[in-house]
Amino acid sequence: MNVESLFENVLKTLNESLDVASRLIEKKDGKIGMIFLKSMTDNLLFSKAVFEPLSKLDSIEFEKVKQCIEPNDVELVGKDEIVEKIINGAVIVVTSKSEQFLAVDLLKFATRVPSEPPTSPVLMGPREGFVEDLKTNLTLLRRRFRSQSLVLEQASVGKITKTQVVIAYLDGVADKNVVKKIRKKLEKADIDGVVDSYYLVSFLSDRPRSILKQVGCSEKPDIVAAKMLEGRVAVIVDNSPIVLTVPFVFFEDIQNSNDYYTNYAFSTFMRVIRVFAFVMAVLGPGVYIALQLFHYNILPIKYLITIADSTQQIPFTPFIEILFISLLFQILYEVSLRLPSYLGMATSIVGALILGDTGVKAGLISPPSVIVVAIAKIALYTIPEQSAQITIAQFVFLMLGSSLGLLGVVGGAIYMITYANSLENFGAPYLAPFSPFVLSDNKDALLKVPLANMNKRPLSLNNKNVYRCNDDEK
Amino acid sequence: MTSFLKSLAKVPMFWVFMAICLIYGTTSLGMPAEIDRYAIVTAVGIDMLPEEEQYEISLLTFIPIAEQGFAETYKVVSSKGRSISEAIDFAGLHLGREIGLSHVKTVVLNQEILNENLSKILDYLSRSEHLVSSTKLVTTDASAKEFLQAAQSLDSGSAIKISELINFNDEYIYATDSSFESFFKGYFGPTRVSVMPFLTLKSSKSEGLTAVGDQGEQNSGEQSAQSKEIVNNGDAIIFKDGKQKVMIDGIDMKKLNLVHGNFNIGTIVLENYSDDHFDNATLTFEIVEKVMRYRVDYQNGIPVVGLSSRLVVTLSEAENQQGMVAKNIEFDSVDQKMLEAIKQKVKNLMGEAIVLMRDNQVDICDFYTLLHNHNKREFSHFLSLLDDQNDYLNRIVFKVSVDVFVK
Amino acid sequence: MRNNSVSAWQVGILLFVLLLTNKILMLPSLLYEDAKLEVWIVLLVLFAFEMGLIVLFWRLKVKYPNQTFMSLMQAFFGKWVTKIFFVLVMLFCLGKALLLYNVTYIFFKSVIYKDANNLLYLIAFFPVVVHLAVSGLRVVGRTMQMFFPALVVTILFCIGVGLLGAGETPLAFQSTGLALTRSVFRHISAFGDSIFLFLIMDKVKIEKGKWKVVFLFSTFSLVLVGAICMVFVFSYSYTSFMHPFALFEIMSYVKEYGGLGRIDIVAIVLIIALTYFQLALYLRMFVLSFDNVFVGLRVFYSVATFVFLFVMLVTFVILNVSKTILFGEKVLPYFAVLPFALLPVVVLVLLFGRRVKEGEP
Repeated sequence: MNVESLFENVLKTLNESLDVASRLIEKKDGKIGMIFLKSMTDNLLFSKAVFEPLSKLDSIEFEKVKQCIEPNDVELVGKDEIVEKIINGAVIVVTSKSEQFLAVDLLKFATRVPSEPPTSPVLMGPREGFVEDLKTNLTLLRRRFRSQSLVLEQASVGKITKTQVVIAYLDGVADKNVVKKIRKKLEKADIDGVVDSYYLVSFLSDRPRSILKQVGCSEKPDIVAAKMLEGRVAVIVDNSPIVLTVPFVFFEDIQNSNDYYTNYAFSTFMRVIRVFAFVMAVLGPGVYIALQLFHYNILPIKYLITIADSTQQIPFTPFIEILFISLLFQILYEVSLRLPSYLGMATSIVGALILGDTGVKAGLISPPSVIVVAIAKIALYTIPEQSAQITIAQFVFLMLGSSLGLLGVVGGAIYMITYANSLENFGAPYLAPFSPFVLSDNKDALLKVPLANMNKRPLSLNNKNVYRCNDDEK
Repeated sequence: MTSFLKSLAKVPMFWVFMAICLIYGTTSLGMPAEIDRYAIVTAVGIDMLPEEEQYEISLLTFIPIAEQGFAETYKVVSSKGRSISEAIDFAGLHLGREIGLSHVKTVVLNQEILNENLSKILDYLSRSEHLVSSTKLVTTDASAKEFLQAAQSLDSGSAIKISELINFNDEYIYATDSSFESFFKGYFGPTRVSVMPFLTLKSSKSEGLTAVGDQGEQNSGEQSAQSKEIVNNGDAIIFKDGKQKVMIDGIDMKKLNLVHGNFNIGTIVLENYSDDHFDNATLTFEIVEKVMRYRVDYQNGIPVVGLSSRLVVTLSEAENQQGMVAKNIEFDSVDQKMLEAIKQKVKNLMGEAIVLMRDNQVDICDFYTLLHNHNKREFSHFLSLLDDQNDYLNRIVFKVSVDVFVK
Repeated sequence: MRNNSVSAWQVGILLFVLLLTNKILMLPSLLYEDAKLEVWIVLLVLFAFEMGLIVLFWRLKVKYPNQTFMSLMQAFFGKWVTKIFFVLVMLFCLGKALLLYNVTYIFFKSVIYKDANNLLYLIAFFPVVVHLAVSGLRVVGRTMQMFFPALVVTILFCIGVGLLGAGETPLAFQSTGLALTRSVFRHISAFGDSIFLFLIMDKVKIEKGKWKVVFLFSTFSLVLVGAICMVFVFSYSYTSFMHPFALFEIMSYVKEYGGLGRIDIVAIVLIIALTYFQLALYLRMFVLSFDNVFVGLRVFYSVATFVFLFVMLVTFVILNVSKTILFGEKVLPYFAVLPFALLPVVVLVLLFGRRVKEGEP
């Protein structure tokens, strides 16, 4: 085999990228060639484990070459696989005497150390979070399941990126139909590249155009492990720290990992607060504007006086005023996400001053409106995973409240709940365990009972094995 | 993009929502708050002007002022009209806003108006869906306008509202809630009797927390409309068939409360009482608990109503001729003689209340319903034998028995 | 339209809403006119009629667990009699929906929407009602299951608050037997909603021993109706003609509680929610009957027919309070012949007649 011409072809195939490296060792009976990507391989290990031993060889016999580098992860590959292997961090070793190719896996790249994810802080409990490296993520999961039950199936998505995706589930717990369905959906996913796990959400959802979240996600291995123990299937995507879980029910986002690491009574109390905050966040501005525009007679006289006095000099109509304040809050939110941290303080001062103080003093906005919108926006973040949906719902109910009053708000709520009830992802009703009402699942819904009493898996998820422990109790 | 739009077209609710936003959302962009379209009225006063054959409506209206603090400013707006609804319409014209009656707590009526059938006068207000049926009705000797002007400074200048004054009256002074609903219930009920509190307006020079009209503006030549004080003596007006029948004072009202089963508080005053410990003393007992039982019987076709009252009282004040009693035993003791005296006093008071009802043919305690529900046939027979069926109270025999316990 | 089955609980909750909604606004005030304090006698008679229908359904379902009511009727009475029967059902549903809509329209217009017009209500109600009706029985059942605790707590709260305003006992024994009978006939059209069960007969999946859940919910609903009526009568009695909206009025009579203000907002929200559900169920009944008359037509046609007829009648025929009451007391009672005379006869024939095989005719 002409090693040089092979290298030329590979270089051409890889568009003469500057990180393509090749090495040639000339021996008496021929040449040994190595080609790899500098950016994807462990260069130090390559020198020590591959190049040096091969340099010391006296012959280019293929078997000898193979033996020399065997302690590494070596694989025999065909000609059509060498480019893919190079892209995946392997070093291809060829000899001029043989037509065979050896791939040595020396994949290495810079990656983050697992740390507490910013989206899920906890007071008590583990603080590890998933990272962008798939192997590290699998390690984090494997450490939590030291039994043969954990199954990891590989898949690849994306015509160009060919991103590695792992389907993880517990054998004997998860429903195999769900796994099959996920596999099929991933196979059908027609996309050029998957840069983050969120790209797969629309392929995994039954109704991709729905604004309701249909796939669960988490950045924490303990949460994912707990969900898998309930019968869910995890989808881990390379280069993404967010792991997807299905089936998803709305109430998952009301639960918080803190609930499982603290007193159950307190957890119950906090869940009730979260639900109340959710309702306030979604309906608050809509109901407020409905009362102002259509139903002033319902407000008690003292509140009426406060609102009347404070809105006297406002040049805007109530709807425009609330819309203006809501948009300001959204702008502040966007700014806080994108601004560098050293400018964050300045922005918060400016935002607070403009919205909270100067705007009210200038008579552009009224204090009651600011309070209502502020409470709604703050309450929104008791369930940060649903913040996008709640924000949209806020505006929807604001429109309904200003157009149709209380009729619109109540009608909108009924419509949303009906719509949510019509969703069933991977066989799990969206609003389980309240609708349909499953008594045993309510042990870990709004109520939180002590862990010792949670001996059944959620019936809403079509688990194979309903009992968490002691199969004999069946 | 086309496929996305096509898939969106299969979601009709999205288009409905967009249509609602376009049709109604755009109009609501320019819609002012209802607070800016309606005048918030907290009290309504009705006067009759017989010379002009018109009614004068006065509205105690909240006027919003652009302030950051909690400021309550009220203004009395008056207008005249041939009917109540016309007068209210004109009031709206004066204010430049529609009149909102949802927060009306009190309706004040001038005493002169009470000679008319009140149900006709209150017809407009009773049909209003926005006026709550628990709105209070009061009467006054002055004009309703002056009353509201006095109430205006009370509402604006202090935390005590005229409605709270009347509420207190209802709960602690006499046993009717004097609301719209209770007036019409009495009017349409079998007794056709209603009760309404009566508050007077007096000129006042005193300091302290009083209801001063016109926020204290004093004009030496025109003091008559100013410095008026609302005085509550517990007086009430009894209506029959919607017209004023009799006015009773606070003392008579207390007597009626003793007969009334629903009212469980009050005081009993024993005057010129003497025994081993007291010498011509005036003793005041506070009623802690009162249980009233009615028993109905018929003797020779005449209904006999037994009023059995069980009172638990406590001595709240002793005004002894020689000053305060100095010994514990005298301070706390209530002997049999005193108990008998209290019983007799209560019996006398209850008897006087019954006489009051009989003389005026006003069945305030609704014995009619009691007798009717007890035995409809017998009672109907009894009524049929009367020359004047309205005079049934005079033919009923009342037997009063009292049990007193001192706490 | 997805045709999914409903469980015992869901049937019970559907019945709860059906039996409650159109009886808690105007009915107590209208009942008092004739029946006075003996309203409870009229209610007992009407409740007995309603429960009788549910018992008949139970026996029929036990005898024919998998068949539709239409197939049973066709087997006994033939195709055309069946179609005529279902046309009457369609008219019954349309009439009741009209009455309910008008009553709530008058209520909302006088209480909270002084300036709004009919178009706003139609736009507010119809999209959600149509969506509910075509979503499928299982979705509707689940939605109501979700709202059920809130509905029950709210109704109990309203009754509790109303009890605080209930005063002295009014005059008793004022009505006569004739007045009571007249009252029963005049208001019988407020009942008969259990006919819905017959239309969804094949979708009802109730295991043995779970029927008591259905009876429990329907009894509970009727008990609540009775409680609201009696609280209203004791609150207003002689002035009940001045207060047409019972559930709202029993709350508004109570004085304000501190800074809470008018707590009748609770009754308003409850009535809005119940009206949405009830109208959706009437539309669904209409659609199911339409399907039985015009077999094979798409759902769109049935919904469009209902909406068209409804809007025409509401806009041009039944416009105000007096016409609404006239319609409810003079016209609709004749439609009540359907659930209380025709339907029991049909069901008794089906129960005691020959056994119909599956797949027949």
